[in-house]
Amino acid sequence: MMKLEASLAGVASAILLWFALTRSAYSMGAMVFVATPLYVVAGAYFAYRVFRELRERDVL
Amino acid sequence: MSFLATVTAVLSGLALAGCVYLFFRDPRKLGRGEFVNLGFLTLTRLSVYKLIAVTVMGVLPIAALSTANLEVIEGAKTVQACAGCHVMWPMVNDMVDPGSDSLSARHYRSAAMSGDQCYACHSGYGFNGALEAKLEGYRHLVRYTTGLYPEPVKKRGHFNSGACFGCHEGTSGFEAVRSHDVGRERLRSGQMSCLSCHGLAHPSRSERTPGSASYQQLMEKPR
Repeated sequence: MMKLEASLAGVASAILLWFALTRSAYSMGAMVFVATPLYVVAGAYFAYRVFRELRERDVL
Repeated sequence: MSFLATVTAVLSGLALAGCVYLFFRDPRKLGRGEFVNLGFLTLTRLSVYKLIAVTVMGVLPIAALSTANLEVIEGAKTVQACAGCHVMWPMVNDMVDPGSDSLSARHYRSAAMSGDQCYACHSGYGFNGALEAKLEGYRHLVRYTTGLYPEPVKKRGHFNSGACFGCHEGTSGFEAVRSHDVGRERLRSGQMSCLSCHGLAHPSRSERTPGSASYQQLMEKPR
């Protein structure tokens, strides 16, 4: 299951949605300094898990 | 709501829904023998799950972040964006006040400046100027969202008179004034400021200091 990645990306998506709807200074700050790193971490962890699984199956 | 903000809202909403799906769905329970007909394509349930995972973890975040950052970069040029932070309200209120005689208010009333008046003076010319303004904007964002700023706010460094020269130099009105010619090099090098003769661009620091007589009026939320 993808609970960790989905949680991190979910929080980041919620922040992005908040920014898109309000465009306040605080939501802008949260988007730049919180949501972006969260997406990067979630995406990197997801990619790591995909590559690990492919290796285990001898695809890579 | 601008077009970019609408696109960002749609993309981030889709990503959020996808995250909820990925959080609760256990791929081990998806049968390899079960198929989903997408109309033009038939896939196993597990393949659909993987497609959703790649979309939610890769495609949608990249697309949503791109539109959101574009919205920040483009949207930050407007006067409304500057008025988004309450410490800027004194400057914006004074600038839009028809009775104000400050330099920014006089520029605001000029037909030559039809929009994005804050950005026009506070960003240099060309790509470097725009880049510096964006970096400065990110610094402002950090200071504002973390509350690491004293009131009244103070401009970092000196105002570059090059921003004034960019529009005024070469115009008949500017060249007709003898002191502009005499002080041109000193103005260019920053030894002399345009404000020395033309008055303050914004309300003074004492006017913007909490507790001053004009503070309440200047701190009303701009309309």
